[in-house]
Amino acid sequence: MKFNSFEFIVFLAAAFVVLWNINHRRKLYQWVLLCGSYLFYGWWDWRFLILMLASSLLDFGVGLQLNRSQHRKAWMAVSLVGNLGVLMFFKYYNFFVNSLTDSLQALGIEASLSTLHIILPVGISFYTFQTLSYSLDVYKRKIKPTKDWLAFLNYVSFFPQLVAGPIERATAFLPQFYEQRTFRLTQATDGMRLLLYGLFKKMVIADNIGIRVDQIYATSNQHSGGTLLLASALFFVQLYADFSAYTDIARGVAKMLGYELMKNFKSPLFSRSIPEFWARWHISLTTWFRDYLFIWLAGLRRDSTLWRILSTVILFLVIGLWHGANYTFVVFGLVHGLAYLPRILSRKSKLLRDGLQLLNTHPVVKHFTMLGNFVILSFTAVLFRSENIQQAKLIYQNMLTGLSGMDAELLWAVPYALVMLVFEWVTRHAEHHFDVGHWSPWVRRPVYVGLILAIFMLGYFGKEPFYYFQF
Amino acid sequence: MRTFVIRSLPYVLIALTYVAWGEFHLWRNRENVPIGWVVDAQVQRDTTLYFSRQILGNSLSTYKYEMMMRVQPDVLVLGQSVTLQFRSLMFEPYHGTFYNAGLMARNAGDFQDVLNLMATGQLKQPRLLVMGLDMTFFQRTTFLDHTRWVVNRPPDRATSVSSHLMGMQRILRNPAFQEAPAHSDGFGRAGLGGRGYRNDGSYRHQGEMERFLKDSTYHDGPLRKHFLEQTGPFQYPLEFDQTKADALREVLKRCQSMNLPVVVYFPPLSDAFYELARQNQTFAQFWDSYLAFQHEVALSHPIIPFTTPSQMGFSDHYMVDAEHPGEVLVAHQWLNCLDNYKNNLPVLDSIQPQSLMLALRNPHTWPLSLNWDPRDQLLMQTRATPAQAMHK
Repeated sequence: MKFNSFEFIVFLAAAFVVLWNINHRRKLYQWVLLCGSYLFYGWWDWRFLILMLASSLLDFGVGLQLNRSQHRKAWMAVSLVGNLGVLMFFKYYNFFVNSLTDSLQALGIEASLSTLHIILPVGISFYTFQTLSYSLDVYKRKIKPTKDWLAFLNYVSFFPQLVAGPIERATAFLPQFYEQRTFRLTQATDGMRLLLYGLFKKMVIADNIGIRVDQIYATSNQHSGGTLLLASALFFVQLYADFSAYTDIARGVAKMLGYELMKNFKSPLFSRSIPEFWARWHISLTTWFRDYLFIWLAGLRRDSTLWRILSTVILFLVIGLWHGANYTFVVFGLVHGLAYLPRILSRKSKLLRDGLQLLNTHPVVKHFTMLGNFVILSFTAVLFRSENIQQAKLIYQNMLTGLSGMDAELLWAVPYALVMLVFEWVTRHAEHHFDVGHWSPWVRRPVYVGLILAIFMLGYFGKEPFYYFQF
Repeated sequence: MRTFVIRSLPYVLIALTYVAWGEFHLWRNRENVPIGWVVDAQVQRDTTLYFSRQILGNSLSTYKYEMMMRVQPDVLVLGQSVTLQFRSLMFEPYHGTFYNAGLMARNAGDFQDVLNLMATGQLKQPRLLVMGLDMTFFQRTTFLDHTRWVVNRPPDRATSVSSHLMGMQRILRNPAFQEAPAHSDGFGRAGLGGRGYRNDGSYRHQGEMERFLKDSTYHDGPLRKHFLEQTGPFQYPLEFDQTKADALREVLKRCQSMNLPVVVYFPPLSDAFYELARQNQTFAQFWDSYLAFQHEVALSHPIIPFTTPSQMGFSDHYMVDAEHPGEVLVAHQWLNCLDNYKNNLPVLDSIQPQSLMLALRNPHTWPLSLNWDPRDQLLMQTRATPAQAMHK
C-alpha cells in the first residue's frame, strides 16, 4: 500500500479510529496494530509477509539465546548469516553471478552461470537492518532482549516506517511498544502537519519534477549538456523531496498514532561538503553503518591515516551497494568515500584545516561552498539515476560537450524545485520544515488549505512509487 | 481525540467539496460511467451511442474486449485505427452481429491472443475476420509491441480513484470541460459531442468532418510532420522486420488451420503523403517489402490491396487524413473486394450490403460520410454547398 494512494487514506483513517479506541487494552491493541501492519505490507504481495515474519522470529529467538547461551558469537553469526543471507540472495545474487561471469570471461574462461528471476521484496533492506540492529545491540549488551514477542513483531513491522525507514533502533523504538499509548493533541496535530507536508512534497514537488526528469533520462542521448546538467540537479532535488516526503509521512503517521520516529534528514541540500551531506542525509542509515561497521573497522588500526581512508572508502562502497546491486552505486560510493579525503587529511595538516574552515564558516564564501557542493552532488546523482554505468558515462560525456540548448518541458520543473528550496531554506532551523504550530492561526490555516488544494490541483496521481522503495 | 477530529473536519470538508465539484463535472460529461454499463447500453440500444472519454481516457482495449465478448460477432474486424471505418451496414445480413474491434489488437501477439479466445471457446469463431495490417505491424521500432493489449488490458479509468482525481485536474485546466455538453446521448465528453466509438465499434471523426464541411479541403494531419521529423510512427531506423512478418504469417496459417475465413486489409495512404514518402529511399525500401508481403498474402487469402484514392478514381478528400481513409472510400474498397472474391469465399457471397448501396446512391453522401448517422445529417444541414459539389 502506498502512502500516496486512496487505499492508504482509508486504511489510515480506520487504523487511527480503531487503535485509539482500544489503546487501553494492550494485547488487543498490539494484535490489531500487527494485523494492520501486515495488511499494509501484504497489499504489495502476501508472499513477502513470510519473509518478514521469518526475519522477525529469527532475531527475536537469537535475542533470547544471546542472553542465556554460552555461545553468543555463534548465535550472533546465525542472525548475521540469516539476515544478510536473505538480503544477499534477493538483492545481490544476480549481480554477483553476472559480475563473476564477466570477470571469468575477461580472464578468457567461458562460464554460463544462471541467474534467477527473483522479485525484490519491498523494503527488505530497511526491515532487515532494523531487526539486525536489535540482535547486534543485544550482543553488545546495549539492551536486554525482549520477551514480548508481539511488541517485537510490531517493532519490526510498524507500518509507517516499514518500507523506507527511518531504520529505527530497538533501544529507542522498542520500548514504545511496551507502554500504553496516550493521545496528545499537540503530537497528533504535529503528525497531521507532517503528513500534509509530506504528501505535498511527494505528489506536487517530487513527482512533477520526476516525470520531466524521467523523460530526459529515457532519451538521454538526444539532449544537450545544459539539459542533462539541469536534469541531474533536478533529479537530486526530486530524490530529496521524494525520500524526505516518505520520512515526513512516516513520522507524521507515527505521531498521529502516538509514536515518535527519529529524524532522517536535516536539510541535506544545504550542506557545504560531502561529509556534512552524509551527516544530514538518511541519518538512520548512515548512523547504522557508523555504529555497526565503521567504528569496528576504523578501530582495527586506530592510528593509521591510510587505514582510516580505506575504512571510509569501504564504508561508502557498502553504503553505495546497499542502495542497489549495480556498478553505478559502487562508483557512487567510491566517489563519495574519496570525498572524505580532505577531512581525514586535515587532522594532520593545519593548512588544510584552515582552508576547510574558511570554506565552511566565512560569511560570504560559505554560500558559494554550499552552491559548489550542490553542483558536485548533482553531478554524482547521475550515477544514482542511470540505469547502468554505460548510460552514466554517456551522460557525463554529453554534459561536457555543448551546454547550449535547453529542453523547454524540463524548465517547467524548475518552479517546483524552487518553491521547496526557498521554503526549506527559510525553515531550516525549525524542528522540522513544517513546524508551523507557532504561526498565527490566520496564516497557518490558509497555508493548510493551500497545501490541500495544491495536492488536488497540481499533485501527480499516476503510479509514481517512492524512489527509495526499490532499495 | 474528539478535538483533533473536529479541528480536522473543515479541511476534510474542503477536500470533499473539491471532489464533489469534480465528480459533478465528470457525471455531467458521462465520463464516470463504467465500461460495463457502457457495454450494456451499446449492446441493448438500437440508437447509436458514441463512446469516447476525453477527460478520463478510454481504457480502450478493455472497452473493445468487453464489447467483442458481449457481441460474440459473426464478422470481426481487427487492426489499428485505420480499420475503424468498417461499419455494420457494410456486412448485411450480419450487421446485427458485426463488431469492429479496431485498436484492441495491435500486434501479432494480440492476434494470437484473439485466436486463443476462439480456440478455448470463450469467443465464438466468427464467420469472417477482417484483419487490417498497416505498416506498424512490420516496423522494427514501435511501442505497439511492448505489451500484449488483449491480455494485459488496462483497468477501467471510470472506476479508478486516481484517474478521477487526474480528470478533475484536467477539468480545472480546461474551461471547455466545465461547460454543459450539447447532447446527452452517449458516453464521455467526446462521445456526447459525436466523436467516438459507435455501438458496432466503428469510429466517427466528428472534428475532421466539421472541418471538411467548413473548408472542403483535405488535411494531412500529423503524419507528414512525423515523417519529415522522423518521429512517431516514422522513428528511425525505419526497417521492415522479417521476424514480425513471420509472426503474422503464423497468424494467417493458424486461421487457415482453424477454417476461419480472413480478408486481409492493407489500408490506403493519401496521394499527397504517398508521393512525398516514396521520394525517401528508406521509406521506399520499407514499402517495397510491405507490398511484397501483400503480394505473398494475396496468393492464399482474399485481400483489400493497398491503394491511394487516385488509383480508385477518387481524390484525397476521401481521406480523413494522410493515413485514415474515410468511410466512403472504405465502402468502395469493400465492395470491390466482394466483387473480386465472392466466388472464392462463400461467406463473402452471402454478404448483401443493401443499406450500403442505398447510402452510396444517396445524393447527400459526401466524401467523409455515408450520411448514415443522424449526427452526420445534422452536420450537413449546417452546410450550404450541395453534397455533390464536394465530390471532386
